[in-house]
This record gives sequence, structure tokens and C-alpha cells, in this order.
Amino acid sequence: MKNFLNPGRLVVIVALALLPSIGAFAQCKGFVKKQISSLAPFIHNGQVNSSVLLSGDQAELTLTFYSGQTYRILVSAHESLGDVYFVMKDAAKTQLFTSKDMGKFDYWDFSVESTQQMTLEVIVPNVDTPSGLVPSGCVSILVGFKQ
Amino acid sequence: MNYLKKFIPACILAAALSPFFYGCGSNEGTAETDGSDTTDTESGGMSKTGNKAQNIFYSIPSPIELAQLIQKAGANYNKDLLNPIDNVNKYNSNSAKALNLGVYGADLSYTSVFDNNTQESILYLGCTRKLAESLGVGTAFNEKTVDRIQANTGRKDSLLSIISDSYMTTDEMLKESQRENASALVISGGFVEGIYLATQLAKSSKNGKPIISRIAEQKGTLDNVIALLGSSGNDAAVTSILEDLKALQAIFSEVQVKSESATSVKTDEASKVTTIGGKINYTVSPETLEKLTAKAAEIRTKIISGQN
Repeated sequence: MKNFLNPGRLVVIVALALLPSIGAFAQCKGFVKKQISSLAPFIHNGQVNSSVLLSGDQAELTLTFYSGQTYRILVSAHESLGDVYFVMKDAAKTQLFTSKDMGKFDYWDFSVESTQQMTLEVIVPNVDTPSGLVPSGCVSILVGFKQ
Repeated sequence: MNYLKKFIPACILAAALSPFFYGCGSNEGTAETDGSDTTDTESGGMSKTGNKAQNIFYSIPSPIELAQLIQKAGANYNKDLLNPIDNVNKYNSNSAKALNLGVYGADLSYTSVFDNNTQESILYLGCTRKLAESLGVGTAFNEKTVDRIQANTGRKDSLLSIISDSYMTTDEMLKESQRENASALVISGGFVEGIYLATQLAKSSKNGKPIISRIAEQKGTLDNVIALLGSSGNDAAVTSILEDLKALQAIFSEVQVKSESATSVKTDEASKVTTIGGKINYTVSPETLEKLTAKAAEIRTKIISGQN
């Protein structure tokens, strides 16, 4: 065991162990920036919400939306994840809007009559691949606002 | 062949160790997962052995947004309320730098929204730039940003967009370098400064009612800031600001939120903009407002004095 874990081999082992996480960061690096132009003329809220998701995963974002503003929600995903869609729910978890079955749906513009917290659920559909491998890719949620 | 005999056991050990590396960082990100077990493959796909992941993001409205709202509510510009620019030299710890990067960011938003004097904005940009550089994310506020701001003098929307770009770059760089706690501190500092400015401006405004409504609406946002900090590790600075914000949350719990009509959803066919209708009332008593004002000032004083 002592011979097996010599320093050189240990470096290789640690590097191999870290590969999946490095791959995950690489998938999202630069992805979000490419989407920002689609938010114009809305001003984005300055926060990056992105993560590597697998087929069948979900992501959730809760945010306060103010009366008197108009918002743009931009959900972007790597093509390998299929038709990613989102559902907007109010604080009581009542569904207000969904992009499901709307095909390629880049963004959604909306306003609220009263300020409220709402939750955006992003759903990656289950995709069966011939290889049995589950597709993975970056998903980002950007929020823009304007008066 | 001999090499392969040694390499294969190394790969097996690496695969066995891999989940531990994930486990170490699982609670540090903005996105939380339920610990799905995944293994990367050469093709970029993953084989999946565990439950579905549930990624949760805690997002906070931009300080620019709050500045715009309180301006629309009738607040005036008062530069005496801002964190003095000379204070920038007293922040030594990374946590004090991160919190005050948020504070100066909110001040920069306030000057940019309220004042057409670009020079004042550039002074505050200088503070954010200095703190961002010492946190290793200086490229977010570089010379190019100053040039862009100067080139866009008088164009408020462009100015706000440039500031927003810089904050997004800061957030992205901090998250990519696994410093979610610093990112959460920047956001918390910005939130506290926003509440501080709003409460002080409500005090000095002739008709403070619309501003007070905007303050009451921060109740849900504060819950999100607390959740964000709670998911960002447990270092001393995060724990300290978390305690302070929980004390503020206890006061905010006195704000009454009442839904007065059913929610309706209507999309305008021409503009494609959906309107979510329904009346929700936020009520805050003068006593609660006084307590909120005092607590916000207390937390803000602690942050700008560099005690964190």
C-alpha cells in the first residue's frame, strides 16, 4: 500500500478524482455571459444562477418581484438536455405560468400588480439515450428588470 | 501493460474518492443539491445512481432596483447618507471587504439612479474597484468600466447596465473560484445598505408612505438573504451577519402581509407581457418602522466600521 500510494501516483489519483467537478465547472464557464444579450433592454439583477443539471433534474429560484416593474425571465440550457421548461408559482405554490409544450421558449416578460415572492421551477425532462448515459449540461436562470 | 496494471487500481481509487471531493463542497454553493451520485464519462454524459438533484438558488433583487423604486416613491438624493469614500482604506479582512463591496455597490447604484453627476458615481466606482481588486476580482471594475461610464455620461440606462455588468462579473468570478461565502457577503452588504438608505430617506421625506411600503416589501427578500447566507458556509463573518439579519427578520415578522384578492393571470397578445394580478397589502406600524430603522442603522454601522 505504501508503495502503491507514492507521491506521483497520489497526484494522478487526486487529479482523476477532481475531473468530474472540473468538467462540471467547465460546462457552465462562459455559458451565462453568452445569454446576457438576450435580456436587453432589461437590466439584469447582477447575480449568476447556474448549475450543471442532469436529465430529470430540477432547479428552483425564489425571488421578490416588485409592483411597478416589468421583468424578463431567461432560462437557458445546453441543447443536450432537451426541451427544458419552467413553471412560475406564487407563494401559495399555485401555478401561474409554464413554458411546457411551448417549444423553444427563450424568455418570459411579466409584471405583478402587487409585490410578491414567487418561485421559478426549471425542469429538465427525462431523456433516454441509446447508450444509457444520462445527458448533462449547464442551465442558467437570468432575471432582468425595467421600469 | 505493466503501466496499465498500476493505472487501473489508481482509477478505481480515484472513482471511490471522487464523491468525497463533491461532499466537501456540497453546502458551500448557492445551489444546493440533495446529494445525487453522478459519475462523469468521456462523452460528457453522466451515469446516475442516486436521486434527482434539487438545485435551489436564493436570488435577491438588485440594489439598483430598490434605488429606482424609492426614487419613484418620492425619495430625494442625500449624499451624506452614503458610506464615506475614505472608509475604503479601513477594510482589512476579506469579509469586511466583501460586505463593503456590497455597501459601496448599493451607494453606487443610489448615486447613479438619483444623481446625474457622473463624477460622484465614479468616486464610488473607485471604492468598489479597490475592494474588488483586493478580493481578486478586480477585472469586474477595471479601467474599461470607468471609460464606459464616462462615455455614457447622461445616459442613465447605459450607466445602470454597466454597473450591473460589473456586479454580475464579480458574482460569477467569486462563484467560479468557489467563494460563495464572499458572494453572499457582497449581496448581504448591498441589502443592508439598501434598507438603511430607504429607512433614512423615509424619515426625511415629506410623504414617506410610498417609501415605507417599499421597505415593508423587503420582508421576503430578507428571508432570501438569510437563506443564501445559511447555505454559504459557516465562517465567523457569515455567522455574525446572519445573527444580525435574524434580529432584523424578527422585527420584519411584525409586518403584516395580507392577500386581498384572488390571483389572476393575463397576457397581452400584442406586447406578450403577462400581468399577474391580485392585491397584496403590506402594513407596517410606526413603532415597527422605528425599530427597523434603528436596527438597520446598527447593522450598517457595524459593517462600515469594518468590525466584521
